[in-house]
Amino acid sequence: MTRPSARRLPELRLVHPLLRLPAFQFVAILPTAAIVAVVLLSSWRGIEHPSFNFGLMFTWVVWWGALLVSLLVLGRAWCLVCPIGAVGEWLQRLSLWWRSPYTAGYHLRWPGALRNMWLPTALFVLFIWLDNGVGFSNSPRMTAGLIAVLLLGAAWVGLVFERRAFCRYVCPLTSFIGLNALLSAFELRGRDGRICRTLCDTKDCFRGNARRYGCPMAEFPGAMDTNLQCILCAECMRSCPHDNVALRLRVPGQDLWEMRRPRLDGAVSATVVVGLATVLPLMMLTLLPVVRRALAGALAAGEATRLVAVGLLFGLGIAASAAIVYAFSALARRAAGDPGVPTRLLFARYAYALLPLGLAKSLADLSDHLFRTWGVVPDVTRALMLDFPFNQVVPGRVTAVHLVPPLGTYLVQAALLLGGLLFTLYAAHRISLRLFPERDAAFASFLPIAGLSFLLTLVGLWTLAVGLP
Amino acid sequence: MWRRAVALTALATGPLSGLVIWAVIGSPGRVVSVGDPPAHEASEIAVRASTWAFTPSVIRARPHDTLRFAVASDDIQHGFAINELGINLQLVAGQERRSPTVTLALPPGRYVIHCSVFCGLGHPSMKATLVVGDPGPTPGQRLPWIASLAGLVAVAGFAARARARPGRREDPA
Repeated sequence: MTRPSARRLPELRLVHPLLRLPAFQFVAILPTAAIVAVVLLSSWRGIEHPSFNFGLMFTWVVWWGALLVSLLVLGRAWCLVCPIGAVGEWLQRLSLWWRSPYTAGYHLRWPGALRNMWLPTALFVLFIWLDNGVGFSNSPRMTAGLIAVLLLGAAWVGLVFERRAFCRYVCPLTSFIGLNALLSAFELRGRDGRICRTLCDTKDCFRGNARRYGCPMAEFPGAMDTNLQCILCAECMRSCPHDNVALRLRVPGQDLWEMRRPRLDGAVSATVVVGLATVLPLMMLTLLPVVRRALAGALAAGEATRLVAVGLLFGLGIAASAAIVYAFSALARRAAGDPGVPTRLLFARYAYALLPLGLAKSLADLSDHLFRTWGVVPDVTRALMLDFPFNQVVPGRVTAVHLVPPLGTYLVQAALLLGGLLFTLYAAHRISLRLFPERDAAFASFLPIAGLSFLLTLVGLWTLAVGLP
Repeated sequence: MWRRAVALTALATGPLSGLVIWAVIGSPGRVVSVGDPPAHEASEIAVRASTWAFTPSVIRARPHDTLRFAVASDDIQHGFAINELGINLQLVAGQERRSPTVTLALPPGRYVIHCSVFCGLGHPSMKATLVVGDPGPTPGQRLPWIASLAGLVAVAGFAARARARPGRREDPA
């Protein structure tokens, strides 16, 4: 239940009245729904020019960047305002925010075999593979198609399965967002675990009541110990009859070392998320030309070759990422000299510690694009305003201007990576102290993971240094 | 115990670190130099873009050379931008785009040629270099080494601190 250390953290009482408003989430979704509508129209109908298409630029640069930053601060706050997940919920509940006596759909339970992170992790990899193989992120039409598929998928799953099954078990971004939400500086939790355990018979926060719904992500806030599935909708705050749920500040990343039951599917997903940001770009940079040349003789030239080559490297890169983390976990076990702690447990714990490094690398990647193609932001805004919202006018030449010069950009990237390294080292150290009662063994087990963290930092530092003046 | 752990860590991390650096800087890519064009004509540099590299990866020119770039993408949409020259071409697969003719009124140095269209995982590394004149050693060549050293110092410093002050004992997992 509630951790003793957590009680000392301040609650954000000032925002509690806002969170308790019945229409809080609906009002929060409205602005993003309007923006997503413009994004959809401009990417579907607008010009195919990547530097003048608002939908494309907004989705892959502005939204992606805002998502990465928001994860560090507010966890899954994007899921709170995401209109895609909301569509399924609105259809299922036949209401926008009030407790409706009617419902639509079948409300089936999500299949037990799929109650884990394997499916969303596979969909995340599929999504990134297709993006890199066919170029979603530089095609407005494919971007519009992707948003439409997600909207239809969320609506269908919402009508067949109970609660937000799509957001928890299907959305291709749920593993990425959920895992990185562990780093956030805020948490929504039960205030006093004893009240949840002994005084509360109804568990309204989970089941709902006559006036409010239960947790849409099927979490019981009284027992929730991580941000993995909390979308900060505050439905539990509104439904709790004991006023026992609070939003509070915490040490960023606390979930990484304090989670009680780290799961293997989550740990593998964490290695995938971190590997996609570090190991995969290195392999793409160094091996893709070789693999493409090797395949060129066997396959017809064009998209198929690239898709297969990228697919091969994805398979290899993801396997290599998991193998490296597992190998260093085995090394950590050997260094600690404690046969009672299996490698599998060390892997399941330490894989989460690498998440800050992965997020730092993703932020460094994005800052590179943002700083050196800054001129695209006014270009794309001008293009949208000239033909709102269809975005079919080319307003002249593309601007070429740095916001920050290349060396300055690299310094920012290096600072981000070194910050991510320190965050990872701190998390790994705290995890080691939980794993081993003997401090010497804990320290010895921590050292190989520190070495792995350095290695992944090095990958980021050198792949980002390509072409430095 | 910790000395053995340090040795194991160094044995595992050292060769892999060397491999990473060698993999990135080991293949210099193709280099072209701008030749002497006929009088009153610009030199044209042909560049191919593909996920995620430019060929050639280094273009050498002299100060005040007049040149233009003829760039084509072999696969998806990419960009070809040299901000210092105000060039930003949008590349569609299979179509060649020509830049305006420019005179290199730039001081000797190394200038980044980059993809200006977000194109996937390798996008941040999709760069080439325009070398004007003889710039000699530049800070960009040293920065990754300095940053790597800073990373090593961070790890060593953190480990030394963790060893000296192991912190409060955590609840067992």
